[in-house]
Amino acid sequence: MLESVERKVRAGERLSGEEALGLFREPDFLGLARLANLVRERRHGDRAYFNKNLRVEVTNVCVASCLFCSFAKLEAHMPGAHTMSLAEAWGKLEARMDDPPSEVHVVNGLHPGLPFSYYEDLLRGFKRVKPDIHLKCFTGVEIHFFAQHYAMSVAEVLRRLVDAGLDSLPGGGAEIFHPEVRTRISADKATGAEWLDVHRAAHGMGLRSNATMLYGHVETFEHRVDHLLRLRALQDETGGFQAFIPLAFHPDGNGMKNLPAPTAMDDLRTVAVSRLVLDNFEHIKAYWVSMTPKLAQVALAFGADDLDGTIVHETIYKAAGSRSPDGLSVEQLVRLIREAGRRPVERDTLYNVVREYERGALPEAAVKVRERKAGRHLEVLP
Amino acid sequence: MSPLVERALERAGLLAFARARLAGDATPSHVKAVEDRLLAADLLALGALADAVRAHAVGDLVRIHADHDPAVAWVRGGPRAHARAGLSLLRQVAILRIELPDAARVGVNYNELGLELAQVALGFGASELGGQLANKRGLPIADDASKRVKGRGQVSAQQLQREELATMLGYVGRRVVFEAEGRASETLDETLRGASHA
Repeated sequence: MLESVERKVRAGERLSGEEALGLFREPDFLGLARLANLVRERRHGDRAYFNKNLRVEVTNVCVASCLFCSFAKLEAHMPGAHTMSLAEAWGKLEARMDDPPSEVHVVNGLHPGLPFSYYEDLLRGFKRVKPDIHLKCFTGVEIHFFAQHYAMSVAEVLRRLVDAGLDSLPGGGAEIFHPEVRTRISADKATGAEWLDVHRAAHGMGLRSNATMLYGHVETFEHRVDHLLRLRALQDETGGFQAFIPLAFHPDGNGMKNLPAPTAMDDLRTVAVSRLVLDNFEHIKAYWVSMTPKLAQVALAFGADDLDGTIVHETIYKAAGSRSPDGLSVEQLVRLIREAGRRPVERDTLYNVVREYERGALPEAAVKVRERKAGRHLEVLP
Repeated sequence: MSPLVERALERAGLLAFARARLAGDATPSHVKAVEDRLLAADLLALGALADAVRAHAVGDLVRIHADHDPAVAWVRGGPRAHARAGLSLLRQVAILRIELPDAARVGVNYNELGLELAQVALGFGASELGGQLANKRGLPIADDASKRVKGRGQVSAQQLQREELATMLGYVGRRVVFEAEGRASETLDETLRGASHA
């Protein structure tokens, strides 16, 4: 199986759904990784990307009742529910202006009680604080909710938000597109087709966006493949996606807490298969908040070329039990990438290079092993 | 090993050594001769070779140790969360598995590395996991803690965590044995003295 896939990959041929399914079941785990790494290397050489970004979640009040979510509160008065004042939200960026991010990434609950002008003012305020900040805000699910809730078309919502400063859309809310799964885990928000329609409309207006897949819960490999193929088809049509981000399900404190989290092997395999199947996506991200920084680094050898960014303060995965730190410094990201034997490249949201760092001749990891072997061959736990 | 991995090992100048290692024909001088090539080799090819050595040497069994077992070559993760990154650790695990004789066992501590990376290390040649059983937030589970389980009544939290760990490792095709605490065991040095290399 892997040999026939390798022949197609080397010839630049597209993989079928059946082949994608076979890769999810491929026993040669590291062989699969090598193939994904080959594709990554062909596209990006020794470069691995990150950016300086700030994550802001202005409200966790949400009318949707997704089973996988530990972040949302159904009512504004419930314990733990919060909605930032505009000044509070802008203050998150103001507080970072001594070393400013290039991007603000906003994702929220679907709050039924806020006026649409709140979101327009939010964007305008961020631009006032830093006029060249890139605003990557509101998932396809949020845009769809705005259209329904404020009685506008998706195009009108997007136009007004762009007028207020929106620069691109994040990839969240895609979950699993297939209705067999989506109706079970998140029945009361945008369907898969509606999510794709929002991104189609955004791409039509010249906005770029990302795409995600929430895996490792009740879906099957067939559902994952269906999801990837739908994304690939839309990308063929619009070319507007920049990066694909597989998101691991975390079970703490949500409606599917009885399920185990996906294993690390599943995380890495999903990255590798995504790299091979999504032949028209330029970037595959290893989102360190979901995977932990160490595993995200390993994912750089499994087809990922991007670690996302500094983040600073993420609350959605934190609520679901993620043990990743709140944020990573640029130095930490550079080090993670260098130790993977790659050249760290700080980018902006649209993948323009901000700064390219040097890489060592030997992967730093190998140097460390060499140093350790010069002393004692093994380091045994005390 | 798949043809894909064999080609990568060939490019790294390690294919002849890999075949000898898997056939049990590698001598200490063979290992010495390829030491630099192992250090610089593609990590995935190295991992595949180490995994093949592990499968040949210890099969699909994963031993979980509650306390320090001197018979195991433990690869340390460092005391701080980011003290050592993941790839460096996997390389160390793979090189140790390849270089040490079949009789030796290579392990990682999942309290230090995190369960995710520890699990990946099992695919790079490790066969032993060490660490205290902990809950999902990393806190040690008390001996007397228990949970009510449908159809089973009160079950000790330690037992539930053991079952969860065994299930998780079962997903990646490995069988789990929990080593008893305080078990007398020969040291790694004793094992190495009694074993022919590779």
